[in-house]
Amino acid sequence: MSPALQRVEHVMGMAVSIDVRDPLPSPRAVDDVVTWLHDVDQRFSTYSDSSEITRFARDELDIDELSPDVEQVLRDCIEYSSITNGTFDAFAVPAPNGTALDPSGYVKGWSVERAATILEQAGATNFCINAGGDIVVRGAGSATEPWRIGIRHPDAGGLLATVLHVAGPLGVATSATYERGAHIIDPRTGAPTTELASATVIGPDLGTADVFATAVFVMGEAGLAWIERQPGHDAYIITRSYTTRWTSGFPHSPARRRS
Amino acid sequence: MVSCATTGGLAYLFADLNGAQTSSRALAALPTPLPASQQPGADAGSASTSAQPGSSTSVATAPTTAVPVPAPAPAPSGRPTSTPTTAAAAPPKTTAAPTTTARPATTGKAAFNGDVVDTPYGPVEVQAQISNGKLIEVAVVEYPTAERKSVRINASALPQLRTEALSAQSANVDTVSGATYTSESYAQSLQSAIDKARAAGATKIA
Repeated sequence: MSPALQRVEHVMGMAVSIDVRDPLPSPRAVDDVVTWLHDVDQRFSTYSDSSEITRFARDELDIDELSPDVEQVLRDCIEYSSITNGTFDAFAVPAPNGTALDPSGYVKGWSVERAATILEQAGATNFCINAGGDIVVRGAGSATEPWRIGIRHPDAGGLLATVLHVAGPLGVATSATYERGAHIIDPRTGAPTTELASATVIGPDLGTADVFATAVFVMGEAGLAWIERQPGHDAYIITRSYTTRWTSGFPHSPARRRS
Repeated sequence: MVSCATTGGLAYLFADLNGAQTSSRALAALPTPLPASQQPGADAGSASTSAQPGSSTSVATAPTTAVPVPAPAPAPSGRPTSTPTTAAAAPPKTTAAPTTTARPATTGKAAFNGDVVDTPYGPVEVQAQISNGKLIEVAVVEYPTAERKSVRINASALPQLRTEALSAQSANVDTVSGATYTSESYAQSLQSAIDKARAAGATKIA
């Protein structure tokens, strides 16, 4: 048994922090997670000319030549486009490789959710993986406390907008434009979104939460009503005018009125 | 008038009541990242340097376009965490900001009450506490007493954005959610500081 473990790996162009709070029966599981994430990057990268995704988008691969994971992810993306009324659409957004196929908004959450499964199967029960700001947690942070997850303030990485207190299993995904100077494109119009500074969605599966965070970001404040209709999910948004709003079950601790 | 207080001490504070106007003012006046001893991964300038030029520009211009949003209502579903003991308030077009709070030079501890501002849902006032030039607490001290508006979403319309690094410290967070950290931005992120603290054996960052 190894003691609690902390590791940071740079993969997929981002930092992945792996934080296992209990002794791991098989510490190699963390290596397996890292190997998995690099494998995902190799197959799904929209920055690489040789990835399956890029080659498929350029008609250099047929769908029956894709690995099962890639094919499944693309099928999932089609379904998510329907579920989100086209506000998430992996097939209608400009990708870095010059094509219009970019499933990255789902691949990150999907792959990290799978990474969590790898750790679980290795016997880990209390851990957190933060992949560039998208998070899976299992169990709790300690014997006495839940996980405390800060939501970044839009202005600076050292500041928080609010804090969640949650127990796993849970996925937490935030879609925002304060990093990379990027815009998020509304696939329905091709225009950049302008309403929100960030949208955070929580749910049982990080892949879904990742997609839904993008969808809410595109929908704007109307996304809260939409999330209320998605069982098991909640959302927290920060508008460009710094108003914050959240759905009824969002597990943070706002100030309360004393009656 | 309803008096109110925050729960859980400094960890759960409203930082402002007036959305962008207050936030941007508070941040501009008090761009205080975690002290270096608390944030090994970030330099002292990270609060200002890590924001993307595009986003900070849009943020800076946003206040003039802020409009009131609907007031919250009790959760129809009655989900436990949704009980909106938080009262309703709209971000008033005029500033309800703690206009007296932007005094970074203040030494010692002092509390400042902001102006009482009438909103469509009643008067609102915030109070700020400043210690040694740092904004350490901003709390809503008056909530509207008007009837809450019925809205479909039980989201609080009270614009609250706790802005100070104190939040990060006192909250003792395990991890931080935000948009994708690039390897470059990670180095200056709170997450990086947390990772380093944990690698050094700390159980909490603060």
